[in-house]
Amino acid sequence: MATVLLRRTSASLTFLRPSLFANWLAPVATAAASLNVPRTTWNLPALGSLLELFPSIVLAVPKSKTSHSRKAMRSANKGLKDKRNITNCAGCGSVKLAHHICPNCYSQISRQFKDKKKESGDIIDLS
Amino acid sequence: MAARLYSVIVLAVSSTFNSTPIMKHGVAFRKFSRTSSHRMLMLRNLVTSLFEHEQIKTTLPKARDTARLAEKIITMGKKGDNGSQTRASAFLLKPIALTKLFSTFAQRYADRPGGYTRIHKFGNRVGDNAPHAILELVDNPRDLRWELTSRAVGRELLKDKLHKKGPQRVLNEGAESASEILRQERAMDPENQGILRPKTRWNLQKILRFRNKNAVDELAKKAVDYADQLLAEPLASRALHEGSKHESPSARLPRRHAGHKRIGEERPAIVVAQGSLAPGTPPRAPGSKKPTFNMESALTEGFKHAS
Repeated sequence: MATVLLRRTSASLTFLRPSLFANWLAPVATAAASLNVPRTTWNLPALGSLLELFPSIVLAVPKSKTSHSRKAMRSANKGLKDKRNITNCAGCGSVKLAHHICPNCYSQISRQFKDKKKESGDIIDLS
Repeated sequence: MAARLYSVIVLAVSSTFNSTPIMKHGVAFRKFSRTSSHRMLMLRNLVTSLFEHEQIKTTLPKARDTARLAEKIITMGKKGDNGSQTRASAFLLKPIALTKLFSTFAQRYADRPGGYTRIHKFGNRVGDNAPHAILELVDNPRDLRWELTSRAVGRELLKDKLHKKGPQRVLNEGAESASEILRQERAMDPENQGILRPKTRWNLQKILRFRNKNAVDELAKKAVDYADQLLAEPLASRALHEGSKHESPSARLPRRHAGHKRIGEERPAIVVAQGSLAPGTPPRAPGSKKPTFNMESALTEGFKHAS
């Protein structure tokens, strides 16, 4: 129904071109025509890459090489921090971290248990 | 045309970012970056391993979640009724863990109202610097706190003996029986002045709380054995050095690491490690250097000034 109407309008358009109403009919007709007819040609700007969309004033770039001094100042806070939670083990006296078990003591205890296990023949009674 | 497209793109990008920050206050459970089924199975495996070995090493957050679950399962084991058995057998993945739960642990923790597990922090893992922890069942045959406290007690008894008797007598006699001292310390309030440090006394009272009558004697024996070991260590290392002298004549005497606390040393670790540079150390007058005579340094480091 709509296509029939369209054909009529396009036909009337060619007939009415020299008429008085051509000024306001023509854009309406073209708009109506463009609604339903699928166009295969698209009007796009020719893009080599997306970068062409961005004018170079937008891209951020360093103006000059960061001096050794400025670079060093920036990394002033990045040094390793000292550990303050250092204490001595109450058992062996060696240095250990606060609230952690002493690795020296644990190693000795663990080895003692493993030796005992070996002596008793690989079956430790944990009951 | 280009400007319009650019503004559209900017708008699209900014709308994908969430501007309001997300908080995580008061959330009870950890997710461990795993799906719910994976997480549950991992925790079940950890609890089963804990029941099987009674002492496991894992990361600290996993240990905390495992401890929570394990204590609930042990409560089930203490109840012992049919429903508890069904639920526990559905949770645990090995039959040995199930049998231990209803026999060994139910007996061991019969009088203890909760708190059947203990977590010891144990530094950081080498590969990814993850904080590690040792999770163990309290009062198990390899109880770490029992061992560490016995060592601390032994060392402090030895220090006390050295003060009162002097090194020569202690070397000849060795450390005596300490059961009587431990019984006194056990009854004492942790804040009062006694032979042991307040922290050691506190640990002593904790580990003896739910044990049987002979526990004090066992602990005393362990402490005395360790004190003898402490006495023997510098002698042994000196003997080893003498033995290897003919192979490498220029080798130095063995020294302790920086900050190692000798028996009787009162200064904190950092101060000892810093030596003469420690804050609060009075500046040494030139030419006044005297060797510090204690048993350890006499037998291990040797002295350039000793005649």
